[in-house]
Amino acid sequence: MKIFHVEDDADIREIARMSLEMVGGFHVDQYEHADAALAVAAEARPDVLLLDVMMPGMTGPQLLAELRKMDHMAHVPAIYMTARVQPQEIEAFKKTGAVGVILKPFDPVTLGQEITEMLQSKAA
Amino acid sequence: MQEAWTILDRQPDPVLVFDGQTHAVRFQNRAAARLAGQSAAAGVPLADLCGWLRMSAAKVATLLETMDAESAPKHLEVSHCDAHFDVTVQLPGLSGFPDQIVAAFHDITERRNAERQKQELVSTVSHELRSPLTAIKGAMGLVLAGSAGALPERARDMVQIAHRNANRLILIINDILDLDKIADGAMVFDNAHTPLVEVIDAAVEAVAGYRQRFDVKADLVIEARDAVAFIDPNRLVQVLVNLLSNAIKFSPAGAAVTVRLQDNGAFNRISVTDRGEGIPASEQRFLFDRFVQIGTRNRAATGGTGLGLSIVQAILDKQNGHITFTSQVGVGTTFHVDLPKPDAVPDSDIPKAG
Ligand SMILES: Nc1ncnc2c1ncn2[C@@H]1O[C@H](COP(=O)(O)OP(=O)(O)OP(=O)(O)O)[C@@H](O)[C@H]1O
Ligand SMILES: [Mg+2]
Repeated sequence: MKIFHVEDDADIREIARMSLEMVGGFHVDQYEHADAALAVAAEARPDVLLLDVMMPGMTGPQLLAELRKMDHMAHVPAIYMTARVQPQEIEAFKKTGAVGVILKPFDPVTLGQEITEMLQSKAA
Repeated sequence: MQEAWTILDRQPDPVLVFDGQTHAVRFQNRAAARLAGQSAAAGVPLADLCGWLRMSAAKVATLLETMDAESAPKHLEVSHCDAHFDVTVQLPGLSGFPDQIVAAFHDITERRNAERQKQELVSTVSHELRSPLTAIKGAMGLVLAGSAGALPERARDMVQIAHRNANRLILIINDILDLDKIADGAMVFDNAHTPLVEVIDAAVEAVAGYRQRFDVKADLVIEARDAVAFIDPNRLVQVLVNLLSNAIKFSPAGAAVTVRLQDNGAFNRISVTDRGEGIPASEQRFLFDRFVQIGTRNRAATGGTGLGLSIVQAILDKQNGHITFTSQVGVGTTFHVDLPKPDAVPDSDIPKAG
């Protein structure tokens, strides 16, 4: 399972990578911002998009809108990662086409499982 | 007598005097005239002025109904353009103005602006703390999960302490952000007709682990099984969880806390009673202030930051609810949450989203 992860904080990127690779058994490709992600998006064939919401430059939802314009990215499940928000905001994120929202700070032990469950509930 | 009016007229703060019966304006001083422009000329009924002040006419009327010549002055906060006023409403009774209502406006714009800036700072700082905390909690979580190999027992204990405290910091930041959100009206309330029994069950369920840790039982006394309130159920659960966790952590091991639901006529009442050490009378009036924790109790055991009750009160304020408590040292404490019955709340007073 390949994860396409965009996050501007280097340390959080590192923690997420270790958590998803070592504990979760995923393959993770990481990008620091939307521009870096868009630069490789044409070649990328991820199974899931994991996007930070607040980033300098393009935000997560803006990046997702760009990615959705590409045929091969149009239906890849997307998950946002963000600091605590109100339930209503989570609903708004889901309306932009995400299958779920992971709250920061996340638990590195269960992060992979959380993502798997979101993908399954979407498939169901 | 004439002199008194002259003094009032020259007061730097705006002052309006209303007829006690008709609520029409009887007198305005110069400062009030400047503030009101044309619209507050003598004879204008209070209800019209309320539009000008963007305050709720119903609120003022209710305020006046509860007052008589003996009651202490009441305060009301109103905004006019970019200015904020603290309005002191008084029925001076026999002291020279029989049957008149005196409203004195005190400009608190600067104080309010300073508060707003402080709040913005708090919320920026809290957000900025979150990213490093995500990394700290994440790194320690991975170490504890054995991702870096087995740890010597003592190292494990130390990382566990650090991890626990990182979690505590996160809770504090969440609380501060919650208070901040409520204060600037950004917390959204999804009100619905909610059976209170369901809210109580959810809250008691949510503190199950906590109860186990402190070895405290929960007794439910449901006297009004059909009680309903028009509130945001999640926020009311948050309120009860806060009260329950206080009751639990200040209870002696083996004791029980009681949650009671009663129909109290005008409103429904949820009470949370504990048999803990109680709150000394001298400390009681500070209880709802931010960061207040009482006495020299062992903080390591009880934890917390003193924000819980501030949040409870702020939420209830926005939900037309009311909280009171009685406490006796050595006997215990009871918190009462009073919620208006759905039909008792005028539509216009139900807080809208935002
Ligand atoms: N049921 C109770 N019995 C005795 N003291 C209480 C009780 N509830 C609250 N207090 C006192 O009031 C203080 C403030 O309570 P509050 O819930 O605001 O903060 P806290 O519980 O210390 O921390 P937090 O709720 O933020 O985790 C407590 O620290 C405690 O001293
Ligand atoms: Mg508390």
